[in-house]
Amino acid sequence: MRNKEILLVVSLLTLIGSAIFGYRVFVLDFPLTPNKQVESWHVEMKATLGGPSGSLRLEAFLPRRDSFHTLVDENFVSNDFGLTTQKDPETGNRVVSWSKRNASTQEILFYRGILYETHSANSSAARTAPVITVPQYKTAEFNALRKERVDYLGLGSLIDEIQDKSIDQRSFALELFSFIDANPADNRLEQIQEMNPNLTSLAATEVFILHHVGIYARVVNGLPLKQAKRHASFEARTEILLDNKWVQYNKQTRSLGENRDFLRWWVGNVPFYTVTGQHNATLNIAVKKHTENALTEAMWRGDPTREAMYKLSIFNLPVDVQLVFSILLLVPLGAIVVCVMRQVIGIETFGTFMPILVALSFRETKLLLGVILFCLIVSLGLIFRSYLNRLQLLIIPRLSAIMIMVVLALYLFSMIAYNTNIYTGLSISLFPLVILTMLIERISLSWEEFGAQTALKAAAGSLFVAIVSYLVMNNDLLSHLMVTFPELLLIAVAMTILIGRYNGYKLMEYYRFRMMTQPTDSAPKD
Amino acid sequence: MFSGFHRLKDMGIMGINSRNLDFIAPHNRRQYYRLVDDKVITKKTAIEAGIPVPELFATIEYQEQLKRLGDILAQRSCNQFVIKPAKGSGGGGIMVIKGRTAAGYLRANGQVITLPEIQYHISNILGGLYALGGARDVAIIEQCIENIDLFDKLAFQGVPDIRLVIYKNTPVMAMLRLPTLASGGRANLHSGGIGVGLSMDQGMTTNAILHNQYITHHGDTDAPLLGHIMPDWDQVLDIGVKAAHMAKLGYVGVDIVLDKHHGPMLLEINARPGISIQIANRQGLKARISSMGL
Ligand SMILES: Nc1ncnc2c1ncn2[C@@H]1O[C@H](COP(=O)(O)OP(=O)(O)O)[C@@H](O)[C@H]1O
Ligand SMILES: [Mg+2]
Repeated sequence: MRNKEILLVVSLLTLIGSAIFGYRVFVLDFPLTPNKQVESWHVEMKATLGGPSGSLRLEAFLPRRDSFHTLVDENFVSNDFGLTTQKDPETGNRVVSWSKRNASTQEILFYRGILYETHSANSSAARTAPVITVPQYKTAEFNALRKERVDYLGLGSLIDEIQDKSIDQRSFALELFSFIDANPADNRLEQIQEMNPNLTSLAATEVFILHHVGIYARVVNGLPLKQAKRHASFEARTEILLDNKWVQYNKQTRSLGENRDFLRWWVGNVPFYTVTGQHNATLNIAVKKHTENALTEAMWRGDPTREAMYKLSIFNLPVDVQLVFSILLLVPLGAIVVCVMRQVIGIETFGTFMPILVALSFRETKLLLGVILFCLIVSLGLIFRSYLNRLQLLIIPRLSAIMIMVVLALYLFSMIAYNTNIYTGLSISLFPLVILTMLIERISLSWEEFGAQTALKAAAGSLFVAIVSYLVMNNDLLSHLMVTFPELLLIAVAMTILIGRYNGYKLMEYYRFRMMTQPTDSAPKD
Repeated sequence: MFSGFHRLKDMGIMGINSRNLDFIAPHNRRQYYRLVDDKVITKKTAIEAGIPVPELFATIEYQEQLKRLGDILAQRSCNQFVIKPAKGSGGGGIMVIKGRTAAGYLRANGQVITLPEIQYHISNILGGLYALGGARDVAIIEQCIENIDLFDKLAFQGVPDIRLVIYKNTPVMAMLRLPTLASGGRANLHSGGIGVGLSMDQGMTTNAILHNQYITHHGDTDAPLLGHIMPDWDQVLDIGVKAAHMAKLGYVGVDIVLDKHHGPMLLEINARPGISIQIANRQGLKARISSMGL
């Protein structure tokens, strides 16, 4: 009955824990390993506005999430401007609008965004397919227009020519792109552009043509991501929807494919920004590439407008709270080590969780120095304690005296370390004073009561467990996992429950009972 | 290694984890621990139940009482007594005083100890130094057991005790524990005492261990350890069963001492008896329990 219940609880905890974990790893693309390198792009937009003072509004597009990039952080510096951001549900474009009733003659506005490359493509690409409203090639309407208008005359002849060489949408698009690439000054293109002044770019013209044969296409404006640029300029590209993916024409390979190295900013053949008011605006865009480890990436995954599961991450907390938790979340690892060491291996320690606290302090001092410091302080404390014993003090004042001596010893060690430059990074802020004091007291007590051997054995056991906890807690992979995926706490609980029901032998008991398991004839006879 | 684990299992040896999960947790109710964890309560309840115990001379509860310690000891005009923490375990904090000299009191190991040193020791007890979890404690001063002749030969400077493991009110295993030079007058194995397995039918010594190693002679006295029969064995078993019944615990260790003049007496009851007794008896507790059909 109880075992069934425990099995249920344990599997439930494990299931929930690993489900959340799996979702965040496989769907949200949280990095499993700490050293995974991730590219991030920092984009900056600086708007310089000059003109007579008066009311002013600047509307500009903001970078958007696409299949390969996730916007993880952005901030605006806009002093006393009113600020709103909007997302157009149809195109997915994001617009910032800065406005001020009485702007001065010179105003500067800033935007900064951080985008990470995602490794699994977001499948939401095709959500915003444009609606085609233009007359379709070969329909009666199209043929009529072809007789009336010179642009449709050129368009029809161009499509005729390309159509002859192609069999489907893909090949049509390919043929069209390579034709235009080879003959950018073809007079039919000029005819089209002349009659349609809104087709300000080649990309817009291409989209215009493609729409007439029923191919979903769009103009997308963005930044080619190759290297850092202090003054980047937008490029307008044609993207067509093929097999539910937005693909671009690659001139070098003469093929159609998704373009990872293009940061999509806005869709549509519309200007980047508009100014309402008397000011002139110059907008400068800068891009910078960062290579960071994936933990830093996770740190930026705080975009609250995204999936709720991002919110589980501690990186949504204020930085100082994050720091606390990045340590607290390691403690369960230490607790499991202690459980295993004591219940399964059978190592004696002073105090149940003392080794974890000592291990935490090793994190700051580094292992070797930590162990040396630990041994020095404990031995000094023991000597001092044995002297205090002669003075016959009451317990609490005696403990306080030892604690003060520990503080003094720590201070002296820091002084020595600092002045001799042996170790300048010595940081002992976490060195557990109280724990060390109690430890000294308990070692010396055990020493008096049960002899040096018993006392030192347990002291060594405590140090050993502390070292193992330190190694586990300081393991890059494990600590990364615990801090990035707090849902693993559920699995940690499940593990401790399991260990809590472990009624098998401890490793040390095998040693303890070794005399019994040997054949009796090896035992001494009377 | 795993074959070793299997051998332990085949021999029916009880590990600590199994003792805690399979014996203590289901058979010992938490609410009854108070009686056994506090030796003052154990003593009072035992007296009411008609179980002989070493006489309680005094309890010391407050630091202020320490000033009158000399008077308390003199009043009793006794030079032999034992000081121990009411909530101690494993022999911790037990001080056996065997007599007086001009310089002070004489400990079991011959060391002379002054009254202020005894006062200091008691104030440590009161502060909870030996109590589980460091809670405040009370010091007990009780009659010192006088060894029977057999034990005088076997033990070194101290009083042996007999540990009975009582499961479901039936004695299942027994062990005689002998103080050594290292154990300082206490018989607990943890303090360095010798454990000697006892047969259940007549209380005969069978095997002896020191620090989990088999021995045949006492290292300090050179006395042969095996083949002795405990006197008043039926009475010892009877006290054990009565004590377990009184404690309302299903799986307990009962410590019994044999006094030259008063016979077997209950020393303490233990809700978490150690498992070394199996080594001293060369048999696993689980094997013993199942062979007894319990
Ligand atoms: N009244 C006593 N007279 C002589 N020895 C004693 C007395 N009380 C305890 N001892 C010694 O101390 C040991 C431990 O005593 P016990 O009362 O069982 O305390 P613990 O709970 O620490 O085991 C005994 O085995 C015995 O050797
Ligand atoms: Mg005892």
